[in-house]
Amino acid sequence: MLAAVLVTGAVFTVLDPRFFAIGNVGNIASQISFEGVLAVTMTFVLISGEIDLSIGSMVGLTGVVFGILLQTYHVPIWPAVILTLLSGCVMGAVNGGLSVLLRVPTIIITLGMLSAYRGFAYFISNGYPVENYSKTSVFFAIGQDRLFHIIPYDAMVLVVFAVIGAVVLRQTVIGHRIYAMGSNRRAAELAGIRVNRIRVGVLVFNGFAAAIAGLLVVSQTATADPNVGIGYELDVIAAVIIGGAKLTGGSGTVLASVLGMLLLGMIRNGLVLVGVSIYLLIVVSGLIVIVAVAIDRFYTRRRLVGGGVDSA
Amino acid sequence: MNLHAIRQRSRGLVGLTTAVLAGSMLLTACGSSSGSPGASKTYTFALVLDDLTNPVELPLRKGAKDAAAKYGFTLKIVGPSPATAQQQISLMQDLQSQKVDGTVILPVDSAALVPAIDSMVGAGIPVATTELDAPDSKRSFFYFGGVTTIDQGKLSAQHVFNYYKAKGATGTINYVLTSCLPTVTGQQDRKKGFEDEVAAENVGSPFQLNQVGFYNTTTDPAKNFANTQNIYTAKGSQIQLEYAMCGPDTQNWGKVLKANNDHHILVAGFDWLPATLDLIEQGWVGWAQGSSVYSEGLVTFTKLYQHVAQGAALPSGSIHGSAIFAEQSNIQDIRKSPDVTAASG
Repeated sequence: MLAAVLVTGAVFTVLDPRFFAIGNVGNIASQISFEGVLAVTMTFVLISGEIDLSIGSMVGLTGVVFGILLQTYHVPIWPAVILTLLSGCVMGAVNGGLSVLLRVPTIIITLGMLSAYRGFAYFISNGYPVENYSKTSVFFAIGQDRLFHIIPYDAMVLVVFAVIGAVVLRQTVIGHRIYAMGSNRRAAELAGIRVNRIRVGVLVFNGFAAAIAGLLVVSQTATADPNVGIGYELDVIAAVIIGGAKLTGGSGTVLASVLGMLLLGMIRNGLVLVGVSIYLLIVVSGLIVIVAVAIDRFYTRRRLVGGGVDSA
Repeated sequence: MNLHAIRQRSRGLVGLTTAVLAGSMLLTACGSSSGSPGASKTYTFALVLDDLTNPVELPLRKGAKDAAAKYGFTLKIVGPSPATAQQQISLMQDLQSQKVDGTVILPVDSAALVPAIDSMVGAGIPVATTELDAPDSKRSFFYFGGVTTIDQGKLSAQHVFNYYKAKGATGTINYVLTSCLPTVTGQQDRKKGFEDEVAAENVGSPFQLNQVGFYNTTTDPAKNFANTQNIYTAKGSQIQLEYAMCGPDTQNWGKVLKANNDHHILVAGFDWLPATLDLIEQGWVGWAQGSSVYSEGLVTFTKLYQHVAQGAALPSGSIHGSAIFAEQSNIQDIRKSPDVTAASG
């Protein structure tokens, strides 16, 4: 994955040297920060063999929740941040809880909640962007300023979150159980792993990440817009799959997923720099997803035919 | 069946029962809000927006709500998100089934919505269009608080030429166009109007406007900002003018120029979003063309109500207001207009 990122970067730099300028690299890092955070936890979700299609809607809703806490209830900014993070966890818990209680696959539950959360964001905001609150807090500097005018603070949030995610996934018992559950759910159950608890847990973590992303977007744009996040689920799942995770579960790493998101961000940025047509940009983005899923299918088939076991 | 399986099934039943009960309560609540038989006639009108979350249309909603409050009719506001003609068609069909008394629609696609509008008119429900038109349909009238979308583009180009003429410009002035919805008819009309007028004005002008790029910025606020950053990186050093055909584009170009402390690009934009007015006042956006979107809601529903409830004749054809450019010289007056106060909530 790292090779793909380096090659892509080299190609775009040759085509337009401004691609590798410090300012532009900072732009890319900032632009992928909120979807990168989502890619971290979506990695957990896909490794466990689940999927969450409602993540974009949760980003929009958590942002609106934050805006309303500030504008309508005049909650101080940092308590509002904490409440927003909690609201994301609740949304994730609703996804996981419904899936477990109703015994319906998460793809169905989160498909429904994609619409429900988006509708709720419109309902509580009345379709209006929420933006009548003070924007002088340091909170807004996270999305708009850079350390030494070089390193975007929102990109630093992504790095810290990704490191925590990677450690949890690779170095803790919970992480190993998530891999085990995604590799063979029945075997994991027989080994005493409480799979329903893990299902809910990874979706709660995903909701938490959605809240962080929602806050980062509000920090960047200074507006809590209920329209934020439409289509993010596609970008995020594509990034995680590009990073090597499989839709069937049991495989993937946080680092590769973040690199997958970085690759998407570089392609979006680079195609604009080299002057690709606005419509061709959309075509290329879609083709990347298809290629990534095709590769996933290829490896899955090879594993089934060969009877081999993937290494995590 | 073991104890674990029974417990699992019980949990499933509890969840299912809860969902069914919640659904029933919701249906009951919805049912209780409708009017009871025998009550005095309450008229119901519908506003079908082109995009449920477009902040630029907030004053339009406010105008419609003010008309509803004044005349005492029920107002339903519906619309797709994101903007698609197919969703609008479905909404129109639903409203026709519900037998609303009149509809005002902002058609996403001037051709695709014709059958749905004609069907509604055929069912005896008067339809008016506003902001965007479907002139080939049987709608009663089109009301627009500004000029046509083609003329918006033309007037923008004229304003740009007047600006550079006043500065005594010569040579080539490169520009880029951006749109957050490049496939929508109204945006395409703005682009065509601008480009046609630029071609006409370039003839004999001491300076020439030269287009060096056309970009899709998308409607998602965060991605719009990201795309604007990328376009600025790609073309910022080559251009002197940005024709921003959407409100979010106008605002984000102002933000990007402010972040880069760049005063050499003129942003000629649209829509009076609160932050855009701030950026105009601070000198980061040259101007934003607007119109009385508030009047579009107020006037259309007033006309429909007076026709349905009071028997007044419906207007026909197209009714237009005028284009207004919010710039530093008139920004304080613009801030006091109902269009701005409604948009800022």
